[in-house]
Amino acid sequence: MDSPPSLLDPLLAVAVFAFIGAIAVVSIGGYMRRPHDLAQVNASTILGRGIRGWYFENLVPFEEFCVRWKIDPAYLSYAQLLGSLLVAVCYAKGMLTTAGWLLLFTGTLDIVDGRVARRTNGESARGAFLDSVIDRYSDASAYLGLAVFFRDTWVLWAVLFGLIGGLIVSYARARGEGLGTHCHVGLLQRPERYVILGFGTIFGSLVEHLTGPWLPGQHYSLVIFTIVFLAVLVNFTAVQRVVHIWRALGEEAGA
Amino acid sequence: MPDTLPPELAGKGKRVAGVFVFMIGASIILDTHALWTGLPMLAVGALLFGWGMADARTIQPLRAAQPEATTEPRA
Repeated sequence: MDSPPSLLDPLLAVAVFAFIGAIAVVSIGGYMRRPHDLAQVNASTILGRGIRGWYFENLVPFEEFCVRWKIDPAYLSYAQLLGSLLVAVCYAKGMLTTAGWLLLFTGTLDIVDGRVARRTNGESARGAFLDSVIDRYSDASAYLGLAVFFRDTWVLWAVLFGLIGGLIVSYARARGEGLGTHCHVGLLQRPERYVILGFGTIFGSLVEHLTGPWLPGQHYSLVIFTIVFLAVLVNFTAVQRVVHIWRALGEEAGA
Repeated sequence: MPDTLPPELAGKGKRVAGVFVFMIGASIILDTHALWTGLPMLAVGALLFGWGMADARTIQPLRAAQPEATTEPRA
């Protein structure tokens, strides 16, 4: 922000770094020491079965809570939408660390609503449609906030490139499935995008706070690297999906 | 209502929520220096986390009487 950097910032940033590291080591370590059946967990290139299994285990108490108190999954989707608007505001105002945590929170809500719907047999076409629409708004709102924040720099182009890629990734799958193909391919699915952008902005912003007194001025190098990295990978995923659907439709036409 | 969670997940929800609230509080202090918003969130997050730890009985003084440890393999 605009206030001059104080020594409190680097100290707090170190404490947060240490706390995140300790939580990760203790929690993931504890999970890995116990035997688990990970056959049901989908793996991806970036997030392996172990990490996904650990993450889903952390969500179980919240699913239980929602199921027990009969919370409609649609309310979780509305909460996700509200959280996404907050994410956009925080990014736009330069509160990158806060925005990163809120982004991880809204991504979590996105996953919990689907799991609660499955457990309560509350899956419906209307619910799936609402979820998809809110997911698009959530995706776009994070990029909107970043676009406002980086509006006077070249990074705006990378943000917009990432936004378009994210929309194409989702649209290609929806259109492909509408044409009768299955499209669960691609390097970066939505959870990976949330994790990369969320942790990228959290760590990038923490590094900024850590180095503030010694490197005055705002650089956001790690945040910019994350945005560019994400933009490239998201568009690569979009191309992967387009090629996959193109080939699948070609095979159907040739059959 | 009876708790349907497996024993290893006792207090997990409170601990996870506590970490999130704590981290958002710390982030607000870092991003805005708004201590009056951030400090209560830090306190609530720490309390939730501590409550979750107590539920999980991972803090030694809070641990209830446990059966004697044996070297027998668990069933």
